[in-house]
Amino acid sequence: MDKRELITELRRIVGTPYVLIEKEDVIVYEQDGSIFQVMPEIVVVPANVEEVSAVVRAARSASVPIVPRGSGTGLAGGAVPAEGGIILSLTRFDRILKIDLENHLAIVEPGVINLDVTKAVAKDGFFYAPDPSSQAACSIGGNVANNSGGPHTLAYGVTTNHVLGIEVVLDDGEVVWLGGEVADTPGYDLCGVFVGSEGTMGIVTKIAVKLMQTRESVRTLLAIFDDMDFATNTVVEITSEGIIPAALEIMDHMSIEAVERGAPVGFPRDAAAVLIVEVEGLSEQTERSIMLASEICRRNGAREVKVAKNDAERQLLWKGRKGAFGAMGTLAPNYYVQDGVVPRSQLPEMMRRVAAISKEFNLTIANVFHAGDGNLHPNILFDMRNPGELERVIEAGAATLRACVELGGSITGEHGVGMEKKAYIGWLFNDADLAAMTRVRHAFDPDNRFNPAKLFPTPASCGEVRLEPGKIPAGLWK
Amino acid sequence: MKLATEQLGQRLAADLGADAVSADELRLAAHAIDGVTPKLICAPSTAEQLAAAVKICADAQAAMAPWGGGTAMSLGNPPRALDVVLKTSHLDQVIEHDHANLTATVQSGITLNALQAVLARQKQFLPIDAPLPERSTIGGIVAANLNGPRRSSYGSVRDLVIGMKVVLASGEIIKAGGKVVKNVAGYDMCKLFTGALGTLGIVTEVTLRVAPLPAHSSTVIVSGTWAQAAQCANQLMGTKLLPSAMFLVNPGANRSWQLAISFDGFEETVARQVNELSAMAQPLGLSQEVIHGEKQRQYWQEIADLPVSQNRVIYRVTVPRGAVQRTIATIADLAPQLCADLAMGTIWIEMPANQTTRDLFPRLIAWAQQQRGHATIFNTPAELKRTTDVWGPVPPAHALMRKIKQEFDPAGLFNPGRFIGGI
Repeated sequence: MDKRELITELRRIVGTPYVLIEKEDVIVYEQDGSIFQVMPEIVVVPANVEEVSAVVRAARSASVPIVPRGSGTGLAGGAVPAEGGIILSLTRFDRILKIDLENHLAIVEPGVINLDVTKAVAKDGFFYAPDPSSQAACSIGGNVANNSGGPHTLAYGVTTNHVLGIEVVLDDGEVVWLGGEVADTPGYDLCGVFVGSEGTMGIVTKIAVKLMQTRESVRTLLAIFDDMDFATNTVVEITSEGIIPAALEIMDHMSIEAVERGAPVGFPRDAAAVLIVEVEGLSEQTERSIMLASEICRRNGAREVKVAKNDAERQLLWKGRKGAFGAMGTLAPNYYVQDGVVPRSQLPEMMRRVAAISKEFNLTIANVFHAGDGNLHPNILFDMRNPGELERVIEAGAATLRACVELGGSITGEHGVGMEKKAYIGWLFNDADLAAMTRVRHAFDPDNRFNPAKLFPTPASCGEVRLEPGKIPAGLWK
Repeated sequence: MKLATEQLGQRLAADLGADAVSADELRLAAHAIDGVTPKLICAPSTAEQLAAAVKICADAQAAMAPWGGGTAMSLGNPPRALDVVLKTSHLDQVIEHDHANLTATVQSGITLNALQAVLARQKQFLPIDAPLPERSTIGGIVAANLNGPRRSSYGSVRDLVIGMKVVLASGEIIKAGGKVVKNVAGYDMCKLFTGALGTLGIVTEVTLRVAPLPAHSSTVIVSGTWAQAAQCANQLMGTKLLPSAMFLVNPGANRSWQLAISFDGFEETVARQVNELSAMAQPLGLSQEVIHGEKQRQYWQEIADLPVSQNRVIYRVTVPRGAVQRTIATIADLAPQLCADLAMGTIWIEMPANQTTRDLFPRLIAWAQQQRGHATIFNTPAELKRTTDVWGPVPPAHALMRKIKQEFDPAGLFNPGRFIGGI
């Protein structure tokens, strides 16, 4: 089947309006939240699982790759068509199919927006726990592909801990459930293996997620530090003392500056770091935990500890934290966010290394991160228009990941490998380790049809890949 | 097997040392699996030795069964073949307890109790209340996916394992995951080996999330009729209370039902929850007992041990949590002993080991499927296994599972036949 025949076949399957081939139609699919751009050839937007299955079979007949895409908020290039072929957009899979509160679960389609799940059940006292910063835009299907986290995964776990089962379309078009609606489905935990496989094993068309009951009480504090070391030591002490907060987030001086310039929430602009500690549970439990956490903050040199008095104050703290990435635009025309992890015990050392890398590469780095998980997000600030700067930024990013690995950590905690980090995965895994992963890939997708040239350390892709940070609105920076 | 037993034994002894290999008849008999006796027992001293032994056995096409504490050997179907039992008993070290990171890395042959003793020095513990902790090994717990009563609040084995080393059929040792609690670098291979019953590789090292020991812990046991206990459970589930375990227990014919609820946490948090539960139970006419300490530990250990009771038929029926009570109601007239994890939807049914009991399986499967769940025979004397797959009907993804098995163990040498659908 040649390209023209494939397009005809795809139009027959999903209807002509849902097959995009003109440049002006497909250009919006050339990039995700990462810096990678590849112009797609064909974008298909199927409406149901039968159509997905037929599209997969058509791609197989035509021997072209398929790249699944949700909301396109991914930060590692996972949704970019590295080797061309078909982008399969799941945005029309946007229904919550079942809310089953008695059984604490919901069945959703992959295009459903993360936050909409919680919104649908909040009035009944339930929530969906994984809460990436992009939760107002990212899709549950994308979360499954990337095993997404978020601030509150410290206490509740990441996506894989909240997915009971998935319906997937395999490489031959077969539709099969992995896992189910209850725990311990007999056989290999293929649902567990699939979650986080970044679209390389098949196309998810339904997801059974766990719903959790909201807690009786939430308490949040903000601790202000004049030294990053004090803040990171506080984090180590809080977790090792046996308090497991729902969230434990740090923002450094530059991030505070960004927020206060962009959408101010009243963070002190002269602080070296602020730490947000949030505890959830029964009121007695949160009362005592917040008291203990306050003590630990003070013992470790916090200049000030403020406990949010009401929900409005609490929301303001989170507005600052969740708005930090967006506010980076107030500091520099471009930013590049990294995602590394260290054991929590190594957090103080790691932040010292990030500071040293900032100096070494002469680049400003703003840190806003999930300290309680040891999951860092250095935002490297730069100006794309300076020749050679992007390359230096990428090198500095790699240096932070190298440091994470040296301290016993990982090159990605929640953003995924995608195109961005496939060259680094060899720092963590040797050939035999990677070959074992390849065996799993081979069992699912022997022809490497799904999202090729991602995740594994393959040679450069054959498509034309350009590096392009998000566009700056004209006139914003002069 | 391509080699004579004697030759294989010599090769293993030459590589691992004579002490590592045994063909003693009594020992062999003690390591039979479902009545199938191995020809050799091999107990390597290091992970590298274990890998070497796997390579030697694989070259000889000898069927291997990994063996930890031997507490769950009756899980699964009888092996199609069994030449060598590979014991992890010498791999019993804690490699690292990073208490500030709340993780521990251990060799797979360490027993759960031995690990808990090390973790307790830093006031931490592994929140997996597996059966027979004095014998159960971490490797066995992971391979057999053995969970305990508090899994709904602390997480299941699959949630707590964050890293592994595994010997593959090729004799290579691979690493999966790492020692950080959040990690999406590459496929989540730990999930593949957890619960795979040693059919894809032999786990030699595991990194686990651990938890702070709760400052206080109490269990409330309320007893009464089925209706009373069930109503109390429903009331409890309508509150914001956060039990660490929530079980309905029927200790046997003509005895009253128990609703057993444990609470972990600060003293005042536990006290409040105990009081609120008591206040709920009293108007319903249930009798109450609050237990702590050793008595509490024993009570829950008995529940945790039930799945591996010998010479009984143990069914595991898993249904959505909302279907637990109607499931119990449909089988209660058979008067089995049972306990049900109300939060997880797991119902453990213990019955006498006879054909009548065994014939119940198809009915349980049909019922569980109707509720969108599943039923397995978790444990039974071998003679009652011969005519059925204890894992129940093959799941829709079985073809994919076979492909995975084919990729990792093409010659079918790891625990052949014991896993689902003949894997």
